[in-house]
Amino acid sequence: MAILHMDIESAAMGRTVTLSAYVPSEALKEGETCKTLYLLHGVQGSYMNWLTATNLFRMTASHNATCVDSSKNGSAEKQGKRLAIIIPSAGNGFYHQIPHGEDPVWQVPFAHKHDYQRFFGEELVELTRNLLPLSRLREDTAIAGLSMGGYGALRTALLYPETFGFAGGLSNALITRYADEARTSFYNSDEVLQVIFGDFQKAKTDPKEDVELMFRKALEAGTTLPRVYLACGEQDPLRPLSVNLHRALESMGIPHEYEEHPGSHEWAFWEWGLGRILERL
Amino acid sequence: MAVIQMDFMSGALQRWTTAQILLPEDVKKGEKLKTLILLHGNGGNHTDWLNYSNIARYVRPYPLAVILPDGDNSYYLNFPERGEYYEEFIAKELPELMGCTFPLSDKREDTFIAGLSMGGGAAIRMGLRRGDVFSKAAGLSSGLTVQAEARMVGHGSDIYAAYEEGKQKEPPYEMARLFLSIGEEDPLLHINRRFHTFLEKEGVDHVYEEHPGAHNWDFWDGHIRDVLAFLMPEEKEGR
Repeated sequence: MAILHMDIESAAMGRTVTLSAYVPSEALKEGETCKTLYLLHGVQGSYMNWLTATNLFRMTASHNATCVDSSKNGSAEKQGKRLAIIIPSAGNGFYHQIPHGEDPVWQVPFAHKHDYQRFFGEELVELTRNLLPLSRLREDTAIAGLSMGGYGALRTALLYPETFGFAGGLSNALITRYADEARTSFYNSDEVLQVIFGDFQKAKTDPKEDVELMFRKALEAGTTLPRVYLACGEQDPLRPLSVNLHRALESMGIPHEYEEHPGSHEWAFWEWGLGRILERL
Repeated sequence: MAVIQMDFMSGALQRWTTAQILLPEDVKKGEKLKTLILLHGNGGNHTDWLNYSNIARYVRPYPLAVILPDGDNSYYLNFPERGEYYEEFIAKELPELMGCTFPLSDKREDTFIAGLSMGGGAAIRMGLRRGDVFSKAAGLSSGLTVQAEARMVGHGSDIYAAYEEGKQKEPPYEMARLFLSIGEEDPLLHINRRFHTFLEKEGVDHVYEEHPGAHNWDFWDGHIRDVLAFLMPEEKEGR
């Protein structure tokens, strides 16, 4: 496994974006492609979080070792594609297209583009597929994340269902379902959400913003949905958000998995969740 | 332009090592890039060219991947007694591994090597001896080592011996086309001039240039652009 640290120029983001990538380079044959997991961080995070706070490297190496059955019968016949993981930095933008407009803090036109949505759903996928040995198949392409990244992964997969065949959400910060009094941190304050969503009150019932409504709309439209995996820590203060989404999907008859495990809004739980996601890829 | 740092396990060096990679971002689906392996000098590492030159800016118009490996102070030679095979690493493992990771052409005509000082000498040496891999080799202020340098004896560093080795290979083997450029105040001027005269006598087609300048980054930053033009003359106007 090679570890890549990449700086790429993003048109959607209007800036250089840093990402880390795990590619099983040493094991690949010429022309061989990998399954891909795009892995999203939470608020206040960066491309480093998943690497430093979990055993992602060792877990992925073990996962990839099981892709090839070389020991049992002496043949090196492949059982499946190896996995590459792409982990970009995404600021605190809730993986959203931040609208142009008046910046409430600086009181100047919000001229710089930060289109996280198009970056994650289109540009990042196209660019990494062009530069790295990644499969172009929907069923080989997964997106998952924790907290804000859980919301981002589910929403991005639903916005681009032709691109992603799997969506995983851990400890999902389903921001449009927060009670207003629960939004106590700077990154989910009215000011910040106003910058991100334009009209946040309207976003709460917008079938392009609210994950539950997005599922409902996709179901009505007959869209082929990704495989869905949801998990939350038993002690996580955000647990009701995931439980409610799980129940709503159940009542809509949308196939998905929901699991709970001891833990709060913390890395020990997310490492466990990563292991569960790897098992499903 | 994607600027990449890659950490990976090298079989030839028997340890993890680090390389920097520059890739154009507008690669089309299925497109295969030409590749330049660009070597640093003695005392440097894989970050030198990025830190001390404008290579990332100069390479923009070219559909070229630039690989910047870490060669330690090895002169990019094989050291069996230490289990470190730098020439194998540069001429075999690196192109193969990078080809499995990034969209690179594996054709000889699309694969180049260049370097400065210690790396320039190694680029020219591998151009002579590994012409099966590299179609063009360029050295700036090349440290063309000769057998008389005691610490390199026995590791195949002698540039004239490398030439004889390349010359004696069976057709269709071809040595890489060579480009040598050196500063007029560079202490290595005379060994470069002597090698140029030798190549002329042997009737080897090559480019040799002398320019004002010394053994420093002003010279290398300025003349790496000549190297890019030599490697890809057809791309001079950009794409």
